[in-house]
Amino acid sequence: MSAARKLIVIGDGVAGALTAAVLARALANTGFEVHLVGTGGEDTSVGPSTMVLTTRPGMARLHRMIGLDDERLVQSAGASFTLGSAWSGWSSVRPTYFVPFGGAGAKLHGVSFHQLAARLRATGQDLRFGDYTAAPMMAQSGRFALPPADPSNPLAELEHGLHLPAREYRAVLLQRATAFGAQHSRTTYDGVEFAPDGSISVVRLADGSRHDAHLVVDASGIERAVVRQVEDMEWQDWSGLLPCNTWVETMQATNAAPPLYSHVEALPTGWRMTVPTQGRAVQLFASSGSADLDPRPGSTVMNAGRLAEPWVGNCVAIGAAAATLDPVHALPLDLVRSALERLLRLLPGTLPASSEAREYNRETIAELDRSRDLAMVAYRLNARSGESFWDSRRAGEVPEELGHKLALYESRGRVSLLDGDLLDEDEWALLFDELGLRPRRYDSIADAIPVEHLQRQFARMRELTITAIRPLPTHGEYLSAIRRSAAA
Amino acid sequence: MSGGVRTVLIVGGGTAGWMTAAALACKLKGLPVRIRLVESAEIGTVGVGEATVPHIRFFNATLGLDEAEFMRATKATFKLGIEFRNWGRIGDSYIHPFGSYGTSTGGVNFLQLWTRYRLNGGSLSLEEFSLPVQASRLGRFSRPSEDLSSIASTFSYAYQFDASLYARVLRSYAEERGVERYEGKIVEVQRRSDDGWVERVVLEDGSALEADLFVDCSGFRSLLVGQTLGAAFQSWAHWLPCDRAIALPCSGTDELTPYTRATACDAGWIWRIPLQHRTGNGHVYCSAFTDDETAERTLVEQLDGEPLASPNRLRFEAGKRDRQWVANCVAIGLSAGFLEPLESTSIHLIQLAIGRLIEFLPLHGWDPADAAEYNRLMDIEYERIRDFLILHYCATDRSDSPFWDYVRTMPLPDSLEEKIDLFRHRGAVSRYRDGMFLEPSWIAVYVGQNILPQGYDPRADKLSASDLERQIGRVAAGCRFAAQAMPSHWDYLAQLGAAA
Ligand SMILES: Cc1cc2nc3c(=O)[nH]c(=O)nc-3n(C[C@H](O)[C@H](O)[C@H](O)COP(=O)(O)OP(=O)(O)OC[C@H]3O[C@@H](n4cnc5c(N)ncnc54)[C@H](O)[C@@H]3O)c2cc1C
Repeated sequence: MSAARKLIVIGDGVAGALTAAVLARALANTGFEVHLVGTGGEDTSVGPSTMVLTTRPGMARLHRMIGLDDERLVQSAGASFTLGSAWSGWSSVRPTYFVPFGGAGAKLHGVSFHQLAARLRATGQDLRFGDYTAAPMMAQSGRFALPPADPSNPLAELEHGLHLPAREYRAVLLQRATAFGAQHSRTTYDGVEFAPDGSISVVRLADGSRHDAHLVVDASGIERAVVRQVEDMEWQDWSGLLPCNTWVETMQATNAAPPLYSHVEALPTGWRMTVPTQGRAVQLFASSGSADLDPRPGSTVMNAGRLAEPWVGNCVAIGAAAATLDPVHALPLDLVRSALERLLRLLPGTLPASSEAREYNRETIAELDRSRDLAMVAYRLNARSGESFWDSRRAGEVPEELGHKLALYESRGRVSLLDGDLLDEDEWALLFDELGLRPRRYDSIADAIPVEHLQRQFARMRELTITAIRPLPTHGEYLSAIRRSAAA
Repeated sequence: MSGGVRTVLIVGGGTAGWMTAAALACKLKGLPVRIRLVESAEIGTVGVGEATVPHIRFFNATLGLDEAEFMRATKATFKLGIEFRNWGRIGDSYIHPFGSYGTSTGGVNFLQLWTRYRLNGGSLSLEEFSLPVQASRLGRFSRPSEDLSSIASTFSYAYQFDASLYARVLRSYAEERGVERYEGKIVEVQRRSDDGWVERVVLEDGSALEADLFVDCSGFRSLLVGQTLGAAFQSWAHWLPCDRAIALPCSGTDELTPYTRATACDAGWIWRIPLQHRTGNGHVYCSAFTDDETAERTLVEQLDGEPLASPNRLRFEAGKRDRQWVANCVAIGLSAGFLEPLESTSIHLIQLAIGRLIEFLPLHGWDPADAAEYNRLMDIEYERIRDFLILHYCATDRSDSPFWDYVRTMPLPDSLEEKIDLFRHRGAVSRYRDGMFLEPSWIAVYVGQNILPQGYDPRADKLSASDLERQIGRVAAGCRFAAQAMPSHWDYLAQLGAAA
């Protein structure tokens, strides 16, 4: 076999470390070398959240691949569990609401929970999805355990994510990456040189060394250290669609057990997200700074947008280098996960890789755009009036796909799922419902189920869930038990 | 928004009409909706359409049909896939099975391992790694195992049946559940003056049938959606030029193949569909490249039994209505569009349309959002199937007739061109949310028609050469062994009590 093909990951923040770990693990003994090189800056590789990151349920698969699981991250990275997010100050229907990972309730006779709920509401009964959904009920009770294996247990389908202190998480990922053979460079990135066909031929490091590149991954965050040098990289600006661009983070130490959710509170000109984890809580303030004002000290400025094409030639941008997305739904790290799974499927053995790039871009762009639509929803449906920041979010144009999604849901409680959507129908429906969107009609088939039967089923669903939650340990006890098991 | 649907009239009693009637009767049970169907014996049905895809089983299961009983009543056989003869090159044969190839290892698709094996001189064909293909070649059948760790769970199956008998089964099912049937020819369609919605249809005897919602199952005529409401026909004839068919059943053979066969000819292809009591045959061809007499002769020459009827001649054009739901009329079946039966997709499209119609049924009032989403979803399905069918024609080395010269060199839809390029480059299949044909189907046709990946997923290099050899050998032996353990197709039918 010829000389090793080098995959060079630029940016050794969380996104780069994760990329290096995943690539090194997947490509061990296949003639590739994985190199990880820092850029020296602050870690904005995932986006505006730099102190604590949120994983969504799909992350467990990727973590498993690199030998990580929840317990290990609780022990070594200070992670805590999360079931979703609580929101206050946004909705017209109620002052606070909860958006769990996963959808609400359960299907009955093939009819979705949200359609059944709409039928019950049509009879005059007022009900909250959250009262029939394990995650919000657990989040409220403060009790938690990983889902039981028994499929008949009402908690079996419970989905969860993690709140991960970024620095510690990064350290764990770096350790994994090097354990799988990735080389973490002691020096930093200097620049790239291009071959006549426009692809990157050489990556230069600050110590003067030069590396022939097979593929370069730009995971340097908003610095876009590599991408900025690539000629055809165009940027699509979303600041007209997602207004927040100024981000301030603060951290407080606390002895209290962390809640099982993050909290997003709307403020007159932006919002504040509190993300708890073991021993601390991080607050992220989002606002829309105007261009002629100096940003507040300590703030990061990051406009929403994405690269027109995340993969050009042999350079793939990942994380905030590819797209900066408002983190109101904790999507940024999940987008890194999804991009990595796709990159693995399409990683080129030989160059040029224009076929792979085209497919990668098609899928990735759809996913980024639909994630943007998702991030827009809470702004679009806000119910704060008399505040120009929020009033203007309700007006104005929305992307066609989002317009269609909203219109169809309002019409009959159906969700138009498109290529790239990360949420499924139940999850969208729950989000829309909590935000106060009420369909004018519901699924007619639900009428075939007698109301009394439905009421009984709903009551039973709630009862069983409560009974299943009651004996669980508190989140704090659960975390301590996991930590103790490591010490033992 | 006006009042919701209380009355449905299904126009047409072919496969589409009776499938719709049966499904609505089942799903709307207990709801205050009156369902009626009108059909005309004088016009009749197309009377073809015998091969299905596995999804039909879910349709039957939803209705609660007993499998053995249904198979007896429709003289049905099991189907594990379709054999394609002479497509990539004259003399080629491959089977597109309802199942996947091999098993993936460490997130790497088996195709990738096979590609590495092949590029290093390995000679076993991809077929060796498919249980349903091996079973088909041996004429064996057994239903898949429910044990997901077993190789015997790696496939699915469909049926080949007499479509007119199937319609009969569905008719009695629907009528038992309250669907009212009318016989008579519609001679006039009356529309509301204000918005042009269809109000009633008038039969030859002067009687009229009114409804809130009309399901147009009138076949190629597309009486309501096409003719009356003017939904334009979007032709795909430049990509799928076959426009005629001759159907001719013949007596069956002793051996009952558990698959459909599609044999490519000079200007089209011939289907062969084995049923319990006869074999269905037909020649689908392109009138620009051959004439009807030649086409019939070609068909007759290929029959492996005595003809049982006189030839049934059909004309069509590939394409679909640009809107399948217009105003208060929804076109289902041939009235919505036509894609040649190369992959047995028409009944599936009917089933899909019915499922969507039920999801979007405006029982609680009308709203244009329903039709918009319904049409968007159906368009995607038709277009994805269209691309898959075109692949069968363009992926060929045949240059032995003007027909093959045309399809081999015709310009392709961009979407397909890119898919082929990606597969040829590294054996990857483009991913989309919707569309009935999944990765294994695309792989079957690409490889079966000699579009072989030139590269592969680097992760396939993880195994040592000897481990690869061993794994390849093990999977192939597993498929062979499991296929040989199956009973013959006839024996299985008899065992199940499904033989008529
Ligand atoms: C050559 C060929 C082979 C095929 N092979 C397959 C296959 O293997 N697998 C598969 O899935 N599909 C196949 N198909 C497609 C399949 O045959 C059709 O999808 C299926 O039969 C449905 O037809 P239909 O019910 O829409 O129309 P039709 O069978 O044409 O029924 C139309 C109905 O409308 C009624 N009607 C029409 N006009 C009037 C009027 N004015 N008044 C009253 N009633 C009226 C007719 O009486 C009839 O009942 C094939 C099609 C062709 C052409």
